[in-house]
Amino acid sequence: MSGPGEVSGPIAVLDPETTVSADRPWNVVVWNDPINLMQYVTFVFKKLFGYSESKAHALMMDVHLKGRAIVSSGTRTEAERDVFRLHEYGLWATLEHDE
Amino acid sequence: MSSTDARLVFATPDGTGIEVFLPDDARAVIETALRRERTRTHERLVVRSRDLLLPSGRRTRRTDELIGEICDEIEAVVASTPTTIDPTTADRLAAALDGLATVRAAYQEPDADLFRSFAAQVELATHGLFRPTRTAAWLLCWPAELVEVLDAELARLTRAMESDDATVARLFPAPHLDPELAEGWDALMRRSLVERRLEAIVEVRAAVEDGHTDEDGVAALLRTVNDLRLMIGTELGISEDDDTARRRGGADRERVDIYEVFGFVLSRLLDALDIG
Repeated sequence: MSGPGEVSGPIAVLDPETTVSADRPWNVVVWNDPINLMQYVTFVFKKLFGYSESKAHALMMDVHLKGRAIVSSGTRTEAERDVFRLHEYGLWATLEHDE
Repeated sequence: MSSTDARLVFATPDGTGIEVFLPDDARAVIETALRRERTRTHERLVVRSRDLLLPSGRRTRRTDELIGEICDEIEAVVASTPTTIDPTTADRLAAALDGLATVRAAYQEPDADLFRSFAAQVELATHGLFRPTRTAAWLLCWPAELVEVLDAELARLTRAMESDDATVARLFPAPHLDPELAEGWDALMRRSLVERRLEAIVEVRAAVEDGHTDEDGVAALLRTVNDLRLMIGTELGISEDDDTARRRGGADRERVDIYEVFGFVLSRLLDALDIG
């Protein structure tokens, strides 16, 4: 997928934080929504991240009960790629810098 | 799984067969349509056959009986919905459909079209009862009513994405909670997401029309049906605590029904993928 490679340039310019805290990972957060089926969300986590059924289910339940869950972490490029893929599957995902 | 469920979507490459089921109401719609069509068709064919096949005017009941027997046989098998197809049932169904093909081939215009249309409907409804072939990765056999609904909603989805309608806002959520950071993303990523979704719609249409697809096609189907749910759910204002959706009447009622049918289809696809 060519998206993340093209995206990271312009957004890196917009976000000055990247250059000073490059060693802190970026987290991908999935947010709860009233439409997506729980079964579907679990499937997406398994398919996109290769998680086991139990891990994917646990993350889905976190999203469902707590409103959000961190589903992956990595470099900014990796996180942007994951957010794009989650959006492609209709999940609401955001990325945030690790605290 | 209830014993009255009937098949919808199907196969793994090794041909073991995944049984995915229609909801009872969808099945009832198909059976009613078959019965109505059969009665109408049968009556017309019976009347016409006396004229077309018996120009001498001497009546023989054989063709009429044959059509009747075939219809009865197929209805009985469609109604039985076993969870596995035993050889006897499979043979009966195969014989009934062979018989249909024979009688269908023998009919001339204008009744041939009528009978062919009926036979095609029956074959479509019963096709899923056969074991899938080993050549296709995934076989699809959707009832005509469902294909019609899917088609209409795909057209709405396409228009909504192309016109940046509010009903598809949920398909392009903000990647950052900070709107300034989200803005740069939006300009670049949204176009990619729209393109990929339009490609998926093309793939889904081809899969449903061809009656078979591969793993990528099934993934496209999954994402697209989910997109349709997101669009219709947004249209209906579905919220976490919203029980009122089910109680809506009028034009909304139909949208709620479609929303729920797609939820069912999605769930059944996921079941099939889990087993596969």
